[in-house]
Amino acid sequence: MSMNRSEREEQSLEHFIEALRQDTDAPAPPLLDADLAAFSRLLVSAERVKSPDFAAQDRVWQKALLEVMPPPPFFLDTVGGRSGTVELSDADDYLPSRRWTGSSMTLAAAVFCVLLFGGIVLYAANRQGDTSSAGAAVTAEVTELRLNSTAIASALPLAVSASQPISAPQVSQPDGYRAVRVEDWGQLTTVGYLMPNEVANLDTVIGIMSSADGGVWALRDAAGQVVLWDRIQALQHGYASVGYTLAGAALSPDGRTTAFGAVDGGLLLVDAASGVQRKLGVAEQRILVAETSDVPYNLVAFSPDGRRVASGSIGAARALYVWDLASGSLVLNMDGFVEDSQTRLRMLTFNNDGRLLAMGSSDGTVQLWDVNVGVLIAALTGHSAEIAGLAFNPDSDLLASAALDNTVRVWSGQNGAALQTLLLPARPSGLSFSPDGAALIVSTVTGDMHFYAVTDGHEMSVIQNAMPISSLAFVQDVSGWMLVLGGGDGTLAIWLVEIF
Amino acid sequence: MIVGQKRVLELMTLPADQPAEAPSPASADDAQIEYAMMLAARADVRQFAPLYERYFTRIYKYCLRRVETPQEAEDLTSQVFVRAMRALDSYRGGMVAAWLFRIAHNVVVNHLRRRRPYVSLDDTGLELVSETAEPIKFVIRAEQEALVRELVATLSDYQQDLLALKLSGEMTSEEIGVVVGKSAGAVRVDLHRTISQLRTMFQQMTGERDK
Repeated sequence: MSMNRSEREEQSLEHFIEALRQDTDAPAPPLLDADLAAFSRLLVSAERVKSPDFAAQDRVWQKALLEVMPPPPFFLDTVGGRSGTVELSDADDYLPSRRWTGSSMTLAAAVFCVLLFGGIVLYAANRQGDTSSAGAAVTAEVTELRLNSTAIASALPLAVSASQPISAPQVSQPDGYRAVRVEDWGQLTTVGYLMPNEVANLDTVIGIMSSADGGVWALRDAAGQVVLWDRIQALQHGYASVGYTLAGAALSPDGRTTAFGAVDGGLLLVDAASGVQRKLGVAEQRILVAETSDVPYNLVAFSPDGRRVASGSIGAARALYVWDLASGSLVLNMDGFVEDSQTRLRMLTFNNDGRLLAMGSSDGTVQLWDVNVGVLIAALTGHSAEIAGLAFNPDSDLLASAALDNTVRVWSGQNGAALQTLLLPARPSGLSFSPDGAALIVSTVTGDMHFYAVTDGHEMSVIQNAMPISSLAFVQDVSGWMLVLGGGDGTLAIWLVEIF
Repeated sequence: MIVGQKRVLELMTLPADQPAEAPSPASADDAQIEYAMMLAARADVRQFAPLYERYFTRIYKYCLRRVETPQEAEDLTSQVFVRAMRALDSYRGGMVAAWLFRIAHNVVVNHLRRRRPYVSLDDTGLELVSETAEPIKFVIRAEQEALVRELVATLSDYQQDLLALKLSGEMTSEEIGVVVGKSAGAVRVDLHRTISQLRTMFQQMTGERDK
């Protein structure tokens, strides 16, 4: 018979107490009595610490591995984007040791990609994506030459010491998509963007939300912080949560209001411009309790028209509410809607017209609700691990879920019927449909973006993002569609996505 | 990056009733597997990944209990594994858990020497509440747990370390003995004394409060 977490902890505790009880070396007088056993229970409970999350585990491993692996013998000192000069410096004395100038052509990009596990690859390409003969001469001195334009684009952020702005080579994707990594945060300042982690010290970015016009972004990190970023007025508001109390956060479509979930499923609404706070439900009464508890699972979601907010949690509170913001009233109250207090709510999302609400749980189930009438349309089972991504397609006739069992399942958005299962090569960290609904994009913790065709589920392409991805979102603004990727180190990467 | 894939595979192959966080090797087979992992890691440091998978949570929790914040614990955990991977040649067989925790113990002790511990309950990763507790019981229990933590903070560094190794590191007395340089029997006695001492202090404090 399988045990749940509390049973396992209890068994572990009993082993601990039993070990003490059998301790024949224990000095007199206190052989373990019932009272001491009871106190031991209290001690174990008091000393319990939170388990780290997967992101922390990956982060520590990468950091440790980078330290123990030998440093590269050379680093790229200068990339002369338009002058075509590449200079190699010795890593020990920083003196230029090799220089190459391509006078007859213009380099679009030339970067070192330092492979973690040995070897250095020099990527050199001209505007057409071809390597030059001179580039080949340089690479002959190093390890390997790769003619891979995707890799060139993904390696671009490593060229941090570029003497001039680098124009990224365009990466053509099959089936009508072209994705170009525009900049990473280190370079965004040069084109008018701000670097949020300069002021916020973001932890792993686990949520990226934007207003409907793309002008305001909200970033949520694993430490419970929420940072609002007004890209037009260059204003930032940071909301540091108390522990995990305010772990659930959502940005209204007009970008003005941020909603936070309280432990009981209530709501705290904050107007970014005025700082005015408004509380709905019993959030006010419970907020003090919430501040001392560890409930990182209470999630919130705005309906696309901004008139409603859903808030829910599974666990101690087991509540799912839908609020009408104009009246402050509860449109739907599904208190105690699940029996199981062990599972946790992981994802919560509305469809485009706000009628359907999908939620994904830590046990791998997905529930599809009609919030207009308060009816559970379907409980979708099939995943064997927790849900890490959940999205409706633009027409709302499909619902896709990504889970830590390394699968993506596509369901009917109308009745929840299972339509498709996709196998992933790594753990997913986010999922989104493309704006035209033709592609399903899944990011993985290994840093890849997989583009799947919605029609038949075949993989159209994979784009490597150079850094692990912890969250993913499509954002639209005046410049078009952007695929925004959150990283484990609190940074973002942005890819412009052109659909043709 | 590779870690994530391996973790999922590992979890999928575990029996349903086995904790995901691997305990100390319970069998000679398990110890042999770990020994083989260590040998493989010596040849190629990347092969340390499975051992990292096995011990990350326990090492992290141990560090977290001894320092102030999750961020600090993460840094220390990283240092522990860096040192471990650099010291693979110094491993001479025996319990891998004890070998690793000895490194962790040294890292934590060095860290605390540089900076005396100051435990702020607001900032630590301590779990402060039982989710299933009823409100009144929860308050009483939370007060009791807070008192216990205050009392633990008054113990000697050695005693606090023992508790952290036992409770957060989930170590056996034999393994703790290797880490702190004592026999398993001596560790059991010290643990027993520590808990009895805590219990007595706790009873005194709660008795005084009741009066």
